[in-house]
Amino acid sequence: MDQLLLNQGFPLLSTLIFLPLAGSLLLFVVRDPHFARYWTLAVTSIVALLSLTLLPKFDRDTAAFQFAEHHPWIESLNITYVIGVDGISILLILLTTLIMPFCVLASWTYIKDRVPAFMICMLIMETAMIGVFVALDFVLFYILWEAMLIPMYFLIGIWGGPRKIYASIKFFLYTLAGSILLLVAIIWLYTANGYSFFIPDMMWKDYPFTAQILLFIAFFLAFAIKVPMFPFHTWLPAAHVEAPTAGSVILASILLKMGTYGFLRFALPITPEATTTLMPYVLWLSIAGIIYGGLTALAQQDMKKLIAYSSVGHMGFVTLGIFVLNIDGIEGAILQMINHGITTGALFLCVGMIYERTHSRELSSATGIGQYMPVFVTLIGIFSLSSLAFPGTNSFVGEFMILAGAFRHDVPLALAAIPGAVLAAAYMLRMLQKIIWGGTNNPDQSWLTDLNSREIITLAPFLFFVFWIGLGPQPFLAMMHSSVVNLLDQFHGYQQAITAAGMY
Amino acid sequence: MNCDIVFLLPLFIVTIGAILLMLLSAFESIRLEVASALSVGIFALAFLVQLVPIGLTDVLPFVSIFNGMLAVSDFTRIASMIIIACGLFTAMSAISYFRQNNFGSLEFFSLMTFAVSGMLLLTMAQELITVFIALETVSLSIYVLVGYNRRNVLSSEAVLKYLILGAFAGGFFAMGIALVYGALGDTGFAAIAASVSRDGLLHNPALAGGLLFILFALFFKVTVFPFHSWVVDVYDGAPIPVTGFMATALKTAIIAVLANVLLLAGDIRESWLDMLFYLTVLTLFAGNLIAIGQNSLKRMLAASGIVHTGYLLIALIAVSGDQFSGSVILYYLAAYAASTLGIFASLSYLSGTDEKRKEFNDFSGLAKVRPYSAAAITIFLLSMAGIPPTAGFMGKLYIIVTAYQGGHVILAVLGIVSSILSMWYYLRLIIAMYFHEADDLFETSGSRSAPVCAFILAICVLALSLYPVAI
Repeated sequence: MDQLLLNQGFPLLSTLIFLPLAGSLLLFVVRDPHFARYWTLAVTSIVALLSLTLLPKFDRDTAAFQFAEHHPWIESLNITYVIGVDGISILLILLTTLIMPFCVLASWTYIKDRVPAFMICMLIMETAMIGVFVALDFVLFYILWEAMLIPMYFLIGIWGGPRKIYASIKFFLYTLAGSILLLVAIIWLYTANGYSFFIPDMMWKDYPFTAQILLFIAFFLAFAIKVPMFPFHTWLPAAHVEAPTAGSVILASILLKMGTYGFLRFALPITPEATTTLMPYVLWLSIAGIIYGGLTALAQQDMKKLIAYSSVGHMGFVTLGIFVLNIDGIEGAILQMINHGITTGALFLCVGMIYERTHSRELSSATGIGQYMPVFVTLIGIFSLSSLAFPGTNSFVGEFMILAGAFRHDVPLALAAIPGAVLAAAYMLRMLQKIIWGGTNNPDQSWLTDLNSREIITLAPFLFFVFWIGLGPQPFLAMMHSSVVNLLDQFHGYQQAITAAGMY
Repeated sequence: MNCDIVFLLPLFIVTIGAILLMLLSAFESIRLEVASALSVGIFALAFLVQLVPIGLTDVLPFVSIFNGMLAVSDFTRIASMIIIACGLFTAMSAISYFRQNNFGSLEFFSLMTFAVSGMLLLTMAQELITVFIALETVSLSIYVLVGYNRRNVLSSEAVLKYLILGAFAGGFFAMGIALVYGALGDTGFAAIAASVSRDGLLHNPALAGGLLFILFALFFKVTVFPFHSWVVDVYDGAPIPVTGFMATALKTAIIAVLANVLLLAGDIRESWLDMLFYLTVLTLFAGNLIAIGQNSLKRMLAASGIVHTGYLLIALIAVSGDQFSGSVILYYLAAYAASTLGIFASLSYLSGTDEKRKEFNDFSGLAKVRPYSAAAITIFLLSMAGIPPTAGFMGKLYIIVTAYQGGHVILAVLGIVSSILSMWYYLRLIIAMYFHEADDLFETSGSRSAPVCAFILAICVLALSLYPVAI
């Protein structure tokens, strides 16, 4: 329990978790679409503002879990309601809470059918997502982890595109199948830890090597599917393409981060020995993902698919950064998780804005709109540059740190990742070129209207963060530094203990 | 002595109520609603009385009455509460069903109450002949209930199948009693346990054979793998409230008996552990495979009931004799009963005249026309599939944790795999309800009782998952 800094006074984290859920209850009763939009915007905005109050009180110098709350829940199984935030999760929580109001704004006119139900799904989704990032009890974590599936399943399945049923079922079954072994691992850890589900107590224990390998495989399957790492990525393009804009944004910005968050929170601390053993395979899978995602994105005609495959590549960088296991790599990876959330989220919003006008996601039907939608192409241009890690934008910092970490770990590995960066430039610039200028026989796009103020407001904060992180990433890195250093210290200490024990 | 009466009071209330209801059926002027309300009242009263003796400790205090033939404990008390609740919700939702199907009569409620009284007796029985009598009380009532719609061919087919196979199982049971009596000169569970723990099970072949017969008869009733073939047709043919009642109350009662029999002395379970293991695995996967192939909702639910029996068998195998394991079984039963009854309550009013909506496709677009009903059904289905945050997930989690702690890792893993397989058919209805357009208005009779049932049960499913301590 000494890893927890218990929260005194107002239970801020619980409020963040349950406020959206409570807000959704009203929408079961009041079923007016207009009210639903304003109400959800209000609730998500309040949650976002409340989450900002975490910042001043957040102690950057400790690796313990802060704002922690601890209540017994199911005593017969020793399940507790215990939540807390550390340097790894705080940025992800803020990303979640801050992005949700913009998802609501992006759905303002996009969703016309069954608006209250849509908003209910969004609010329940927010509760589950915040919960996953703060849960410190493994059963609580698992419940919220699975509970995310249901609203997402409906978001894709009801408000999705033409092949929505296929996509939603594939999404559901794929992720569910990934998490079954996680449940087995949880139960094993429960029995191995004196019947406790408390996550920090499970870390840095000397479990037998075989058990660690099996645990790691269970974690890996669950989290690699969520990330998604090559070759477990096939659900992602289908889900992205069919999901409504807000669904794509949530999926890309937050859901994918849960996989990499899982690696950092569970795989590294619980199975350090297995991580060291299996690290090379994971690293080369990441490289495969980077290259594969880049090449596939280069061949796409569908803009959403292009961004979806680019996500596979970007997330490959994130897993690469995590598993090189040094400070640059991991800090870069966490920063890149945030960056990817901002940049890809913004790109999906942009594609959604074109789709609302042309009702097509095909690159060919959006060619040559630069002349008629100057504000739009400026914005999508900046986000595309950010996506390809142009210096001065957020992704550059993250990708640079990851590559620096990779070089410190192993030079051939780092060199193998470089083509990914070039590919990213190739597919992004190809998309930009087509959207802005097109060719000699563009379709007539003169009827297109440029972004309205709601859409600009939706995109502006993303732009702000692209440059803030790109030009001054220090505040963000400072927040995670203590936790990452602590993680690595413990990790290397563990390895030394193993080696020392092995010498006798 | 006062306590003993309190312990048996629910049984008395239900039995007297059943007789009263049967007498009332002589009066033609009494309306169905009155009989339904009366039986709901009887069940509610019995439920409340059952709530009272919380003073019973968890250490199985064998408060013996009737010369040791009956015993009550917290296990039987909670099993009885589940059974009584099943009766209550069935009686409530049956009214909506009979509004649209004109074969209802007063005897329906009386027979159901009789069945409940038999089930209550079953949970308490500590002696084979008592079990047999209780089992026959239940079976006879349910035979009639299954064939209640006399004009329907399917219903008649169902009752014939069930009657013949059920009689066969009854014969097995009687044969088993005879063998056990021949071996021991006694039919009490205590005597069997004493003999088994003294000499081992296989020391006396007649005893082992007799118990095997008895097990098979009980397996027939709860649809364990090789004895499951009747269930799909019978559940399909029976009227919807009866199917829901059979799937929940009957299963709870028989599982309670099975737990009593298997937990007599650790050795009984141990000796058959291999057999139970294979039966469990086969039950899980046979149920899943059958369910995947169904197009009719009732048939799918029947087959999925086989899978749930498989989970309960895992729990029975994994129990380690302490009270915790008993509560695992009971919690799963409660979660399962709440979701299954919920879905049958919803079907009671949604299926329409002559159960015209029975296929998955018949419920296409339900979410557009009746969003609340669709949401409730979704909650029930997710609970049956074991997706958090529903009671079904907690039930499965308990069972899998117990299996794991008992060293049955393979069963734990297979249990999880099977729950993934089951998503296939539970999702199908959700897909139909939400992702397709409605071409039906889903007009219903207007009786509010079944919708109210479904609403209460949906709350129960969520509440049970948040406060599992209640069990």
